[in-house]
Amino acid sequence: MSRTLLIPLVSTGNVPQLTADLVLHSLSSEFHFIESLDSTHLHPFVGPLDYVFEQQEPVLFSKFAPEKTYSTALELFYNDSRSLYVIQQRTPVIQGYLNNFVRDVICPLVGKLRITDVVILDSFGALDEDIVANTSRTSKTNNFYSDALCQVRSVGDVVREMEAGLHLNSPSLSSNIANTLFQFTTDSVQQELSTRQQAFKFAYHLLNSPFPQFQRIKYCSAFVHEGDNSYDAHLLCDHLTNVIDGFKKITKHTPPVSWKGVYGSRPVPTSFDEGIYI
Amino acid sequence: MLFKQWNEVDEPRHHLDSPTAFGNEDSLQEASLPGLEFPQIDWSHYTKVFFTTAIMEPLFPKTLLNTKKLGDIKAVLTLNGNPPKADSHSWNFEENFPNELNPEERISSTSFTFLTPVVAFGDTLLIMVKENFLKVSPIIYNQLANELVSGIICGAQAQEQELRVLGTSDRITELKSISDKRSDLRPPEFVTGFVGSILTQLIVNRLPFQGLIAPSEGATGFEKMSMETVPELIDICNEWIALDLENYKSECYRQCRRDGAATGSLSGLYI
Repeated sequence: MSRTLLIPLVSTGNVPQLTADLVLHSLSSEFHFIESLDSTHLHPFVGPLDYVFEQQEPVLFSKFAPEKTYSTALELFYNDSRSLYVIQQRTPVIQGYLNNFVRDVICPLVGKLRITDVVILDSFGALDEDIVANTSRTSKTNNFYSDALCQVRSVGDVVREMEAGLHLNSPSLSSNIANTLFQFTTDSVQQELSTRQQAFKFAYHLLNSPFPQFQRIKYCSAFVHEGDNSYDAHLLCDHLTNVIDGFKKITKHTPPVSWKGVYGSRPVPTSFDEGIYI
Repeated sequence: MLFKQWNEVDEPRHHLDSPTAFGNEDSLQEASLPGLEFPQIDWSHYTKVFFTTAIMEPLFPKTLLNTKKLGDIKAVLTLNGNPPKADSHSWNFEENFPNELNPEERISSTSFTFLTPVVAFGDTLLIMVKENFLKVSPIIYNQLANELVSGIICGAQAQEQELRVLGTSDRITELKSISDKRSDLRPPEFVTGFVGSILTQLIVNRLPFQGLIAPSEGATGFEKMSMETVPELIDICNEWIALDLENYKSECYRQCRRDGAATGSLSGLYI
């Protein structure tokens, strides 16, 4: 049976974080808090426990950690019925420490939890030059998502090739390697993973860690306009059924109270009588 | 936390400013963590420990409290990456606002040293960090908090020590009291910076603490507090720090005026 770990990267519009919020709080009766992970490599963060407006207490935490009063920058949650672990990362990685973060925090966690599938959620906008450069091939698609799969056992040769001589500054070589690592679906916006993307470093270090049970890395990226964050998160949450095996669509989305006042919390108005501001 | 709202830049806002532009963005190697050296202090000798940042300095008047410096905690961060390329765009404050800083002071070395004094008065230790989002990477605060709390405080009968945290946040509008058991903070309020690092460690290590988070405005290390906040802070700190000092309050007000810490818009909007 597969055991999945969902990792939301801090990226454009914070859409992956908001999506993780939606998954956790919409299914708060199924998920529970496990532990605060080491956040040495992240910008510091301490905040109160988040909860859904109708709830009397933060049920995500109260089941197994009733004494818990604060959330930290990196927390792990688990849903037993779906064998799904979800990380909530609330602040960006400190510049220069992404490799440390993946190798020292994420890789040991994948080994410890005996994860088979790692799902990386990402988002990008028109200003992310490194990614936009790799989307030209399918610029005509109407899809907002990019889905890709990396079968761990089939990439042994690629990893050896990377180890033999990785010239990251050479665009042709690096994009070739990244392209062979992940197989994107034909209707994806993105068709290649840039070596400058965070997800590439996650993939590189995970593939270089010897976990016998580890099978797949799935990458899902949403094209967003920075600003209408939360509506994009609702859409990405619905899209998760295509990314996580056996993940049933969440019928009722319940965002946590921390979303109150988030810019773009309403759908984009389609006519003037709905107002011009989001 | 600073999300570049004041920069007219076409960069996604989750890319935070960084003081020491690392040249290793393309690297797949781990960066080195800061190394820390602690002064020889008998930590268990003190029954109260205050963790705070430099904005709270007026609450600890040196002459009145008769403070004495016990030593410096030294953090050294050595970067082994290449410096950033000259033709690439940079979010370095010094490049965007070259007139604001002396060009002679440009950082050329790849090793950064960060000193935090450890000060004592009576049975109280004071660890006050001078934050500066332009020059000090948050990894230093994190590493400092890790080793201070898990290494030193935990080893010094922490259950018997009174740990106090004084911090600020630009996400709140009124003074909030916090402790290990309860918190006045409400989502989406949060605390970051050195105080965020210290609180993280206290929470993870399940140590009892008490603290205050005051509303502030401005970037990390350059915050300002309002005229309404400061008297409240002084009242509470009077109970915590100096029960028997009659002129504690007036001395704090004097320090505040001197530092311009409490004068808000009177001292100018810009840093």
